[in-house]
Amino acid sequence: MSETALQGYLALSALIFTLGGVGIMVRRSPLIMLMCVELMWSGAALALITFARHVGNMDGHIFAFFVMIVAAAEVAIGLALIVVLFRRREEVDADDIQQLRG
Amino acid sequence: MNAALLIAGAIAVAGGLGVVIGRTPVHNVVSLIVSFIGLAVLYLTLDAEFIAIVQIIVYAGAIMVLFLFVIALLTTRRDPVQNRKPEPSGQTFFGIVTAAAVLMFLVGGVLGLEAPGGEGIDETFGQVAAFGRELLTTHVFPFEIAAFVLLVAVVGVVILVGRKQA
Amino acid sequence: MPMQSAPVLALIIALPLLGALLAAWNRNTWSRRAIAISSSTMVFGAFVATVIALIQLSGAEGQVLGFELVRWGPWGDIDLSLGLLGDPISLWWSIVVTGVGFLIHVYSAGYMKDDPGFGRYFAKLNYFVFAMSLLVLADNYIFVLIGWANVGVASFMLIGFWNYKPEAASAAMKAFIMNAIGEVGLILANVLIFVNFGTFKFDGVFNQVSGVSTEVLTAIGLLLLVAAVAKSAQLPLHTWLPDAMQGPTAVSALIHAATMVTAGVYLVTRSHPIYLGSETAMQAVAWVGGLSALFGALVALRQTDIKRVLAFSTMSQVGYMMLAAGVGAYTAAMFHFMTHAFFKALLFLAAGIIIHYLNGEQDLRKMGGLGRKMPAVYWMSLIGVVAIAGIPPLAGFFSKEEILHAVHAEGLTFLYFLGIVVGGMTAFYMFRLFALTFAGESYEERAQQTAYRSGKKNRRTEQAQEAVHHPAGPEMLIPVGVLTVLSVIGGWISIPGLTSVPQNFLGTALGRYTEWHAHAMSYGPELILILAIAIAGAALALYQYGPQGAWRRIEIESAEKRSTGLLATGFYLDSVYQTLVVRPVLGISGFIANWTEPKVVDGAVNGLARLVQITGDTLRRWHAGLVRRYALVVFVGVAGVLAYVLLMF
Repeated sequence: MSETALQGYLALSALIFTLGGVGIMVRRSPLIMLMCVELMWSGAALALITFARHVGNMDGHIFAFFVMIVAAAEVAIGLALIVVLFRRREEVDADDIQQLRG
Repeated sequence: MNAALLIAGAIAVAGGLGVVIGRTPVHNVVSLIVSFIGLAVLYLTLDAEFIAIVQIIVYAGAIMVLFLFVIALLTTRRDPVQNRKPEPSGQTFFGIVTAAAVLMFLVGGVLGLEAPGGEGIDETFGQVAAFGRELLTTHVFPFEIAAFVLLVAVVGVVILVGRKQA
Repeated sequence: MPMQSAPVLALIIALPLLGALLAAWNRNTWSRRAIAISSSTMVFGAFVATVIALIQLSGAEGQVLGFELVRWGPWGDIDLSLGLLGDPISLWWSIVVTGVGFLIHVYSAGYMKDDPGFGRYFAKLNYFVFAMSLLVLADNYIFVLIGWANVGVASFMLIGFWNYKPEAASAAMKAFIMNAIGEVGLILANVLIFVNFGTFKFDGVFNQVSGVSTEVLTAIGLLLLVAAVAKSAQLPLHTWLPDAMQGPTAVSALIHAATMVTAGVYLVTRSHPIYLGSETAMQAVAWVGGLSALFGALVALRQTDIKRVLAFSTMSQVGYMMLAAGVGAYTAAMFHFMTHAFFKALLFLAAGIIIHYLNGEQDLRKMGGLGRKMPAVYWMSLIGVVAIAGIPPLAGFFSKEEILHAVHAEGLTFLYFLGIVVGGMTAFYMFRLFALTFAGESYEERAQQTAYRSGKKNRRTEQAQEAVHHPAGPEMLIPVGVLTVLSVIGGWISIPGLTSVPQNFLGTALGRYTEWHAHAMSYGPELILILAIAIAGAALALYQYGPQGAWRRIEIESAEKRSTGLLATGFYLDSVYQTLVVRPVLGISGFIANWTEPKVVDGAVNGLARLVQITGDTLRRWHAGLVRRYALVVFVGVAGVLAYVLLMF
């Protein structure tokens, strides 16, 4: 794998990661924030798989796989939380949830 | 390979932008699926066949369907947020600036990377058999733990959602 | 020095402490009689214990008595055994402290009869006897320090006994603060002693004196002298003593005349091996003593308050003792301590009876004519006055003559003549006091005469006529009588050529400086000089202050005025201290209170608080509970870490 290609893949993973980050910081819907988290996971997984290919070792794949597992668990719980929130009120805004206010 | 990187990468980024910008939840989910498909293609170009398949089946398939279920269950309206509250001051601006800074640093770091020609790979790299051998020999303990994490997640979801409302 | 264990020593300090606790605990429940009996019995028990210790000492064949109370250590090389010591010096002081202390307890039962703080008073008085016994019986400098501080506290509490009187409260504070100066000296001396000798025990220290340089001995001696000067009211730290007369008169008799103020003399006597190793320290002690004797006598000449006369007289007499200690005549110093305790306690107690009789009047100019009304007190006072004036065959003559003799033998001619002159002045001011108090017409009679002459009665006259007098009961008269007897015979234990009890008794503890009396009679001319000056002083006072005396009339006519002048104000030393010490300290305190405190300290504190507040206010905005804000903060952190990693590596 050439240096250019490696840099391209990694830059792409960084771009996807930051896109997800922007989404979390800018959007107010918890649902979309959760999706943006998925996006960030994916960016990280891409970097892992790129390095696995570059090094020729499959440990990166294993790690990406675990990322997916954890992401699945996280989505399940996150969606459950969102469902609970929606049950409590008509509309959900992440800014309404302020119980951690200092 | 570079062409594939560019096209698939463009699809993935476009999907990601759609997630961030989209105003209708269903649109967001579809954008995310598009992004995931683009990523799966990228995985394929990286000889990660098994991961690419899992990406399609688990992520784009199962998880996104879960999202769609929730959206269908809760609301079909547009983005439920009606901007009842003002944005916290400077949140959007600083968010984008900070993300840009992070991106800049990451890309800067990547471009500064010195990685002369990677290792060669053998025939089985990225295939299910090799993956399975790795997973169930070297990483069997994390595997067990992951299974337990999923179990905890299931139990947690049941407790959270299945509880009668107070 | 070989030592014989004597548990009876512990009783001497334990009984008064027990009495103090009993009186303090039961002060509101027991009757006054019960408290007085319990407290006096305890002190009497201590006296008996001292006598028993004396008997044991006489049978100990050269050994001294000791009793270990506490043992600290051993820690490495340090092994501190703290206990009590019953050598001739200790027991000499102890017998006077407990003996005179007992008499004054009995006297107090009558003197304080009507005071609401009766139980409190006896608790404090017993506590004082405990502390003083601990001080004189200590076998190490640690216990000396503890006793020293405790007698200071007892003195503080008893001077300020009538704490509702602002003068008493401030006098107590003054005494305490000036004694603190001395305590600093004592503590520093203790530090030096331990550094140089490695022990606090007297015998351990004194055995090693020859191995220590003269400079160190001088330093220790001078520091101990600072302590002694403060406690014994010597120049220049004496100003607390006249003010201390705000306390009950019985307290003045016990603490501020007979025992506590002589603690400085005890300290110097006890530490005599250190002083004998340093000529400088000896000279300092002698000069401080001599000048204090002169100063006290000078100021006493013009005082109008009966107790202040006695206070300055005490300062002067303690000055004699210091002078004796300063020339190495420790036997003479301790002999004079004992006789002085007798006749000064007698004079104070007699003054107490007079004040009691006159309902608290202490001004000499408003007394007079009391000789006819209270003949017993008249005669007993006369004996006390003659004793202190140094006229044979009463106690004061022998002890004072012994001191002067020692000073002369040591070759300090100036101090010798100074001592003789002070003797004359002593006779003068004591007979002045005596004449103004007992002779002539009483204040009421004079007031009546004035009223008849002017043909009208003013309010003061009526008051004087209506005054109800409080005659003294037997519990007050008997102790004074005992002290009178002691003042007469106290000196006979050391008549040159006949008896020499102090020399024989104390000689074992003091070594070479006990032989003065072998020469006493060879100074016949000086003896005559001393006597002549004393008698001249007495005669002058009797002539000028007698019923028809000229100076008496002058003083009485100025009775309503505040006396001023060099002598009456004690050479303005109080004012000088006020200006040189108190004002600057108050000024600095005021500056600190009014500027440093609000501006610097509060400023710093408030500034810190404001800083925290501003920081918190700023940071609070980042903790609005908004998940997205937290995400932003995390991202800022990520950017920061990345920047650090990229720029640093």
